[in-house]
Amino acid sequence: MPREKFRTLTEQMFYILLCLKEECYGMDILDKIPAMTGKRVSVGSGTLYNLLEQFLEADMILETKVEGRKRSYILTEKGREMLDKEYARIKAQAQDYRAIFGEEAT
Amino acid sequence: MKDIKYRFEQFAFYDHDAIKERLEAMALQGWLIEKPGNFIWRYRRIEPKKLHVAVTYFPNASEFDPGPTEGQQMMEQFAKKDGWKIAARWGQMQIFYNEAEEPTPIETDAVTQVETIHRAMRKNMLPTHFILLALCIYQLCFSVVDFIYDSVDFLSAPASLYMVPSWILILIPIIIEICFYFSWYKKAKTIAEERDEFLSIKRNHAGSYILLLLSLLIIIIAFVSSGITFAAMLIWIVVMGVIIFTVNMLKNRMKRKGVSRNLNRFMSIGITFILTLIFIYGVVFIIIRYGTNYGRTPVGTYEHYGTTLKIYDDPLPLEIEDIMDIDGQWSKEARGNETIFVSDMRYNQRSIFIEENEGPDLSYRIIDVKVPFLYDFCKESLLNEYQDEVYDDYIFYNSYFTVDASDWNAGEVYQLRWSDSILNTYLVCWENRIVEIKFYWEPTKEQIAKVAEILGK
Repeated sequence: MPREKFRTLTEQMFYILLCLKEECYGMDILDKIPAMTGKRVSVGSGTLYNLLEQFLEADMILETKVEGRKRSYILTEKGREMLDKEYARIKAQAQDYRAIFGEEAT
Repeated sequence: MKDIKYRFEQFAFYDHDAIKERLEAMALQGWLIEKPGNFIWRYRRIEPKKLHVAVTYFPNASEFDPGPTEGQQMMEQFAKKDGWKIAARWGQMQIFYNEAEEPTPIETDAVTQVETIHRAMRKNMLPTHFILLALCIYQLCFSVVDFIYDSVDFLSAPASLYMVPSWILILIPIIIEICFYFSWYKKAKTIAEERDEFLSIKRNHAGSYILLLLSLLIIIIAFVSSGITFAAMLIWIVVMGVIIFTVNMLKNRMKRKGVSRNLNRFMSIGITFILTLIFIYGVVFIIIRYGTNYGRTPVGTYEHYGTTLKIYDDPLPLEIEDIMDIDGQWSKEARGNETIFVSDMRYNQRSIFIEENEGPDLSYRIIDVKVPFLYDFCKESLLNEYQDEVYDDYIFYNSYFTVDASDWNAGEVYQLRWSDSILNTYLVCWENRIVEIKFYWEPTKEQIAKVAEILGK
């Protein structure tokens, strides 16, 4: 069944929002995510740009500074709520996984 | 050695996989894309090398932008951080290249990628295709109405009849393209959401090109069959080419001068409209001013009350002299249309208006129906050209009624009634031929028999 926009977050969306807990330049997110995830996750420049635009439109982030082409953003309450929901969903999935596989899961 | 190369390329605007594949292959041969276009792409020479190419879409960009928008510049800056350099922009399409061995892809989220492509297509390819679809359907509906309203004219006129298959051959690839795109979008969206994978676009255009070429061939046949000369067609093509070239040149000049997107779009559309109108009015003016002889040449002229009238001497299958013993001077004109279904020839023998010339006139129309099942359509169409008019209790007669066909040795014969008079106009139905004939005198039985002998099959 098709997902309602931002009802669940992809990994890319999740980590971009996570990076914006603190005010951050958009460009810096390209380095922050691989550093945060031990290079497990990286986000493409096109994906980053498009998601920042979509998050802005959905009021999930706020543009805080514009210095020429460098812009910085920060998470909003709504963005925080979306992250919390996604975290709860992931936790529930992890719990279900442990319930099935028991000690094997650890 | 040339540093610039032009290639004919034809991709669906959203088929970035095919574009990427082609551009990577060209880079291996030593060519980097410099300027994409609708049909011709320009490449510049580079050292042959393995490059990674990425084709991305920026929905808010436009072909009329004077330069990359702020958003595009920001995105290009992001991309530069990962080693991606901008090679070319074309409206909403941006083409990047990267020399690294394994660069981070520009698009890493399938859901976002599919949505971005769809947002770009909603502003670019889809409106164009829907407009063309509507135009094709309108033209086909118009043809149906034309056929119903006047079957004989429609079936005998190449420019009308042959345009039907032509429009159908244009309609089919458009429908295929729209269906293919939405089918891909639906599947791609589902796969992206469920598996975070991007569904490749595999689009083969070969069939569409064949249909479009066939359509062009039919259009050419239609025009040639209509009596339009190759020279006229060539002039038409050249003028259209000049209009397209002029508009593109002005659009690009406005872009270089930094004219805003909206003003550029308005001016480009306006100039296209004006130039096309000028061309059409020019054609109409020439036709009105110089007339059209339908490919015939007059043999003379004469003056009648200040008007110069032409005299023709076209061969006629039936002449007044064949059915009565009379001396006179006439202009004899023949013209008509013919297709694989119906031939509609009109003949007029008109007296020349000079003193001491009192010969009668004769005009007739021969419709040869080559496909039997169309016969009744044609007959009904001719009968329906005349309709009685009813005003309260009064009927103004203006229609055909059945008369004895034996004089004509025909299947059916109708005679025209107009108001309270019976006119000497007949519709005669032989096996594959219908003749509408107007005598400007009351014909005798012998004259009718002679006409039937000459015109009846």
